[in-house]
Amino acid sequence: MALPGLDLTDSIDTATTSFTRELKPHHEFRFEVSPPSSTTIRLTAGTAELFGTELSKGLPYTFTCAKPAIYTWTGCTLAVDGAPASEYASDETPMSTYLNLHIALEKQRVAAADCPPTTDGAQGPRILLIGPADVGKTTLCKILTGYAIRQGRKPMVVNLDCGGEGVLSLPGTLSAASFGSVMDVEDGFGSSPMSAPSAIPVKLPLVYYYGLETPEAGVRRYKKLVTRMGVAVNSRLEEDIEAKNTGLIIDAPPLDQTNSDLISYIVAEFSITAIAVLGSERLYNTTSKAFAATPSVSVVKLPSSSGVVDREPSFKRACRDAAIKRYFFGDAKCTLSPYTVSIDFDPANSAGGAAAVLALWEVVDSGADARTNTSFLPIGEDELALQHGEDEVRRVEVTDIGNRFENTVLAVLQVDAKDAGAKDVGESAVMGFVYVQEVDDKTKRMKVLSPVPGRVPPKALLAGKWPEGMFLT
Amino acid sequence: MSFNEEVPSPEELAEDYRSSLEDLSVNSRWEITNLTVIAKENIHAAQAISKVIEEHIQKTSPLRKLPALYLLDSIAKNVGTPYTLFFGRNLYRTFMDAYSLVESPVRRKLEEMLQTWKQPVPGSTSSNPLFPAETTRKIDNALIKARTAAVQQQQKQMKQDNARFGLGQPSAAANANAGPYRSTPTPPMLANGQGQPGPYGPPQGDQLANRGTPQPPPPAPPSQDPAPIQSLPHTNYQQLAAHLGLGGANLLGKVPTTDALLNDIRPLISTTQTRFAENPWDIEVQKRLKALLDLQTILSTQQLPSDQLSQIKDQLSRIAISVHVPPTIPNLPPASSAPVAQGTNLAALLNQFSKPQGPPIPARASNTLPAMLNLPTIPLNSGTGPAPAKNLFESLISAGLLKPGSSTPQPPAASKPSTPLNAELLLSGLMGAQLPSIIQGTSSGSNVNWETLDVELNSASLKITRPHFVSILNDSLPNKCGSCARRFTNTEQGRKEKAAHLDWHFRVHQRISDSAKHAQFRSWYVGEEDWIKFREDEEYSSATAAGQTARTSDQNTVSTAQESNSQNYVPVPNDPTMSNITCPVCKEKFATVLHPDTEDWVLMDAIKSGGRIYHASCFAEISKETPPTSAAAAAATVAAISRGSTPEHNSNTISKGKRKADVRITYPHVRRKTRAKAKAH
Repeated sequence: MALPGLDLTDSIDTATTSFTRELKPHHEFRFEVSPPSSTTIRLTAGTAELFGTELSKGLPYTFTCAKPAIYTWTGCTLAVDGAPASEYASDETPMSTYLNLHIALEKQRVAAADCPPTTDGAQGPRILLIGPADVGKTTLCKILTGYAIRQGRKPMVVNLDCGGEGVLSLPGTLSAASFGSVMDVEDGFGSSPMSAPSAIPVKLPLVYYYGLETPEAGVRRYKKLVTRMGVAVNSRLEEDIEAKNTGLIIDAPPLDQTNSDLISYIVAEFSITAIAVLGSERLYNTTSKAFAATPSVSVVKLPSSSGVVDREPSFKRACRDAAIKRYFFGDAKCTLSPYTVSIDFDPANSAGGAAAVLALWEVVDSGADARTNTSFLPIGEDELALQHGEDEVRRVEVTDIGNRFENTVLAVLQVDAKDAGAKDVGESAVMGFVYVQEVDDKTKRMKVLSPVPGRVPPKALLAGKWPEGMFLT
Repeated sequence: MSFNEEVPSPEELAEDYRSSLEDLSVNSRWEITNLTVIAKENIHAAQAISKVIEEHIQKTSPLRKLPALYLLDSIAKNVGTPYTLFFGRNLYRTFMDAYSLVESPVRRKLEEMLQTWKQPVPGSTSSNPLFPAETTRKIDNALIKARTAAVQQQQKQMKQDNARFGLGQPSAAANANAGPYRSTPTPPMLANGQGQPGPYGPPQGDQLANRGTPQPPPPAPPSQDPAPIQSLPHTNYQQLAAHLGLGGANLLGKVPTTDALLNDIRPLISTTQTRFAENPWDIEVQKRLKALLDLQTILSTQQLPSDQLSQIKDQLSRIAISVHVPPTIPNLPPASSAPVAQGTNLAALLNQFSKPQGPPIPARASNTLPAMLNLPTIPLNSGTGPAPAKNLFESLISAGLLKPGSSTPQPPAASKPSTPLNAELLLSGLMGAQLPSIIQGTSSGSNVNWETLDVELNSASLKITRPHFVSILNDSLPNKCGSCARRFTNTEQGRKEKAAHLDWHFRVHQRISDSAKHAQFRSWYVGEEDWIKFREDEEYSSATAAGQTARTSDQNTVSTAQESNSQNYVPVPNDPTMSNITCPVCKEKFATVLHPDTEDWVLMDAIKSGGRIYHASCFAEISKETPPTSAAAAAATVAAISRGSTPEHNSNTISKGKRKADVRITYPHVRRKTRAKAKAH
């Protein structure tokens, strides 16, 4: 049958189950939705929350690519529409522990708010969430953020997990944003600003593009970015008393006991006051020993939820791709129209001055490949590489711009293309991203998908190795 | 039409029509009727108009396809030839293109509509089907093929399901699916209550009025499968509605079955949903809808004793009356008062009948009550407007039948989440539908003594379960926004903030519906300095954030360009038919250039207003010519003339706003004609 998508959706639809599910107090309804299908949930009675954000009664919430869990403190009835791949209710949740953690933080926030604004006492709790992969760090981050918002606080959320889906941005980024308004139930942390109005207020993030999957792959640049982020976040908190009283919630990348150096680094840069260790007894032990002599930092151990599922690589990949797609095209609630723009990178043309100078930089993976590769580079570039020997990013020469950049995203940095050095590029914040559709090395033009209409600003572009290339249609 | 000295050309009409179509975002009977009337009046431009409609159906977002197709349906049924001929040519493509893009609930509605196309128009003398049989058959065949494919897929799925859930489950699911499908009213009349007079006058004589008769019962031959079942709830619905006003006690005498009640609820829900769609921020409608849906859930999931069923039946009767009170009566005071008054009516009646201590009053009381009170008898099912209803309410109070305060005792169901669900609670929710949400309990959050709370940041302390913490979490800000869960304090200040917040929701909602017309894009992020300075305090407008981003980031972005330069140029319309447009004022073409800033083809010295593109200078001239104060009044008259009868629509402020925008569009359009004429002389 030639109708696109017809057979598939119909088959799901005919098998659609509409059922209601009553949850007793302190139960959690967990379900999985995989991309082609979707599940709609309505809260018909009682109260319920999804990762700390309350559901509104009667409103339909549609989930497409997610493994959400809806928790109720008081009992509730949910009307479920659609065919979740799996669904069950559980009463084994660490939610009461998480709530205790929140109240303990809130207690410190109340105390902070009572102090005069300029003193150290006005500093709210700054908590860092660490643990191995897939223990629910991001989930706990959402819960704590949601609870803080619910009590009228203004938490500053910092995402340092470069390998995840990204917060208000793309995978491979580090970002920070102040959450002064409710989060989006369907869409995790919500959306960054768009030209369109949004029913859930947008959050304005500060974004750095790290461009590698793990901190270890480029640990020096990772630390530099953490420092930059720390400076910006601290300055922001100094100027915003509400945010200062509320403090920080930091979501770390997957770390284990071998990363104690990085943990101490983050703790120092963000003046962390509390570390919550999820799901690893061993990491908890090493961490609490390391900070035993530091009374200003409390280390707590938290159970991870039994609902935490190992997400298969393919599922994570789908989620990352979806995040990129969402950046350019928006979601069901708000469709965005990116623009195809062509960039001329022929140096002969840019001599006139009017055309943009393209300055494409590339993140260097300090792991094996970059070093060995330099020896195979043409003479000129070899020298360049030596010259920049210790840099974490390197300039991509015009002759080297080829189709290996096709189907990847490039970060548009805040620094101007013209006079940027490796240091500026390596530590610059991000303006946005473009997606390379096509590189034509004969005419020296590339076609990119730009989120904003008009010419791509004459800023330095940075290519990374993460997120991996994808087909964006 | 009275200004027929110069008949607008079909192209101009089509252009006007196209811009009106862009406003057709929800399935609003009023808008569809209005557009139908316009199509009828301009029958000489039928070809152009039908083309515009077909293009619109093809281009508009999937969410808006259904209303557009309903419009096609409405025009075909109410106007007939030549529109049916024009639509018929491309019907297969128009229908199937839309069908393949929409969600499955919408597909069902389309299928239902297709069924009605195979039959003659109800009330007409002709026995020919609306569209030629070969056209509809072609669509049918395509659908059957699609369905076969789907069934095969489904069988696969079913096997899996059987493996997972055991046998029998799939058929139950299938039945559950079939239910709502078949009882859905015939699409184009969805918004129309029984006996509700059409919102437009009958300017076209009785033909249109007849054909527009709400909800023609599908005169399907018995061989047609869905028909018999389809007519069942339909009849019930009619009976219910007819019976309610007339006060016959027959139905109420019997103990209703759950099924019958469910059947009765469904049309109410769909009507309320329509109303909700028209006016999504009307909390009252929202609550009523919610309560109805909850009731439906309860009925379908629980076994209730018969006396409770009767009680529910009574309640439903009351609601049915209130729901079917026409939203408009001619000389009504301000628009905003109408819904309130109507709500009062609902609450009054509901209260009267659900006070547990009071004796149950039979249904006909709705008729006899006014009589008892020496009020003029009002036929409740057809003519009752909100105003008399309010009188009724007041009289009830003055007569001592109703205590003024009695509408407040029951807390809304929402505030008692832990109580087990039961019908009575829900009914009280229905009653409370018009009340402002009363939050019980004190703002205990401020009373929490944080210093003495026995929780510390250490692993042992965190393990202890402390049930009372839950209330700290929720009660420190007890006043919750119903649509986004944002919380406020219960103080005067909090209430003010919440009111501002609800206003914000309203504005955003309006903007969202407007923004769907334009391409939207992600803004650039800001740099470190701007980010540090940025405050969310004025976060009530999300545009602030976006605007700030755009402003502080690079000047190349078009969002700023649009602000500052839109006087100078307009992007070339994507529509190929518009590539040769001329300025409506001077009839000259625009200069098309590749603009260096946007890298896009633009029309220079152009300005876009209300879907038309003018030379900036020409536009300045025509807008200058009339002083702004009289312009609105004049424009209103002009609009009234040009659109034939322009019904006033008062229950929906959003569409009212839109209407005004429309008027502004029409105005230069008409003036321009007289100018052009003057030039010609």
